[in-house]
Amino acid sequence: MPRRGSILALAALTGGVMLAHMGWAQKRAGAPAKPPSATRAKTPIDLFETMSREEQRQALEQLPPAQRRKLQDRLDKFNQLPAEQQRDLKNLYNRLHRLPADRQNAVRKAIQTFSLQSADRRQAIREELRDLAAVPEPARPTRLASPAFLSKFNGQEREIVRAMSLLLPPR
Amino acid sequence: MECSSRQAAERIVAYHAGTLDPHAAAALEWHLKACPVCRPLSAAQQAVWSALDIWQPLPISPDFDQKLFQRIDAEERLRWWQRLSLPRLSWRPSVSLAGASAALLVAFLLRTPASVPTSPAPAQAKFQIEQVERALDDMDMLEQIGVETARSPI
Amino acid sequence: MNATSIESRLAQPSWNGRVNSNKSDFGSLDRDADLMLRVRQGDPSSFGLLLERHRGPVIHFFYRMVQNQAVAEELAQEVFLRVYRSRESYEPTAKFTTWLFRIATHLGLNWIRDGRNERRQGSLDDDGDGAARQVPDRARNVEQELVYQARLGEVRQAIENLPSKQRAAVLMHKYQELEYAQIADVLRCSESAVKSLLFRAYEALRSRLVHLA
Repeated sequence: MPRRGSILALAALTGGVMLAHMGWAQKRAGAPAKPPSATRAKTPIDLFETMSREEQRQALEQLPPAQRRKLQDRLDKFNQLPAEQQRDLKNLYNRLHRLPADRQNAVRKAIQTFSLQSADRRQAIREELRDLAAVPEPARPTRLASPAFLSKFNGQEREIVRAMSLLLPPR
Repeated sequence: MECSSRQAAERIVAYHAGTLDPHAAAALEWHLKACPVCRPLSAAQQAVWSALDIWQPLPISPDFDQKLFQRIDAEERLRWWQRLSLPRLSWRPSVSLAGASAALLVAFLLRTPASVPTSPAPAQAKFQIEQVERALDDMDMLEQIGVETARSPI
Repeated sequence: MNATSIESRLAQPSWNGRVNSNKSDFGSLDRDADLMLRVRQGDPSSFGLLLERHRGPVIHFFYRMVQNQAVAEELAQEVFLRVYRSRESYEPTAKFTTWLFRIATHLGLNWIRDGRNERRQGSLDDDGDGAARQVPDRARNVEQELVYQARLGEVRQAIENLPSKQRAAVLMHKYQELEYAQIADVLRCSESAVKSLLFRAYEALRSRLVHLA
């Protein structure tokens, strides 16, 4: 590294004009790139969709044929969902991935447990989440500790609701 | 275990934190129904837990990331300049001027990532595809909870 | 060839540099460590992802530690700057969140120790940006809002009265949901020392907040 540094230093004396022309200011002169947080975060599916056909083909070719076909089918199935549903799922995805790793794990575990509940309990939990989403975020913990909530659900269901409430949008 | 012991208190804290395994939690819930020592302690801990829950954070400044990037860029430029700092210069050229300019060009190519991707190296392409697969797994999982949840007003 | 700012590099898909995820010992168990290894290998978009995931928790941790939003954001900037700065020597010897909160706690404890909070924190009502940021909830009526603010004030005071290490331990345990072992790693003490810290902290909090039930 030091040898390279001295070569660079020497080159800078003679290549100073080239340095100024190629170097520091030019990217700033163009339209500044938005910080990632300024727009809705792109999911890996969004990024894949923005690739050219050739790039998508090359990426898919990395997979064994059977896996490639399965992934293609899954992407097609996802893209056939109504636009609103796709948007909602992506929003949920982004909210999930904004959570710290431990909380993400808790949410995933909760959803797994949720899927094992009976249909009527799943519906009750969904309704609770829907109602909770209409409650301002600072008031949600109070609601989740209220007698009405505690009496409606058993301990495991309460934990499911609490974990999944992390995905609800702030209000 | 002594109900007035520190371990009992820790167990109650763990219960309210949701970190007790289901069997231990169930056993504790049964115990709390009747224990005159643990029940009020648990109620007090629940009060603390609920109270701490009301303390929500404030919104983050919208320019937080931008300021961070500016600081990082400023620091990167400082380090780059430091590598070219004058005290390290030697007036006796160790390579030809043409070679030095070529070295500078190569240094730029190596220092700054290519802004125009040609085609992804296989390792990056596989990484992208794995991310897409994982994202689809997550979407399938999230679909279960009912999309209507996501349609709540923001 | 143009030099690009990190901002514009972050906006690009991660085509650039060589990505070799095989080097991670954590595999898919700690995705954050994987991402940090990719940052080490020259993929700035992975730093963007890490920032996206951890910006909130780090700032919120500082906000509750120092009880000043402006200071919290400054300290959080310092954390991420240090993370980026140390990318070339990063080794996943611990979970990424443990490492991140080790940096954050160290900065937070230093800030408290240096006593700057006494100069900058006039009252607990001042979030460093004026009362305007504490927007009342329209779902609450005036009386409910007053009650809520009073309760919140008591909670903040109770936390602020905790010795700094107990405060850090409670915040990591309650809001970041770190395990005892992780908190011990962050505070560089034994797990039994963490249990002791939390025992004393929650005991103090119970005595101050039980009436809020």
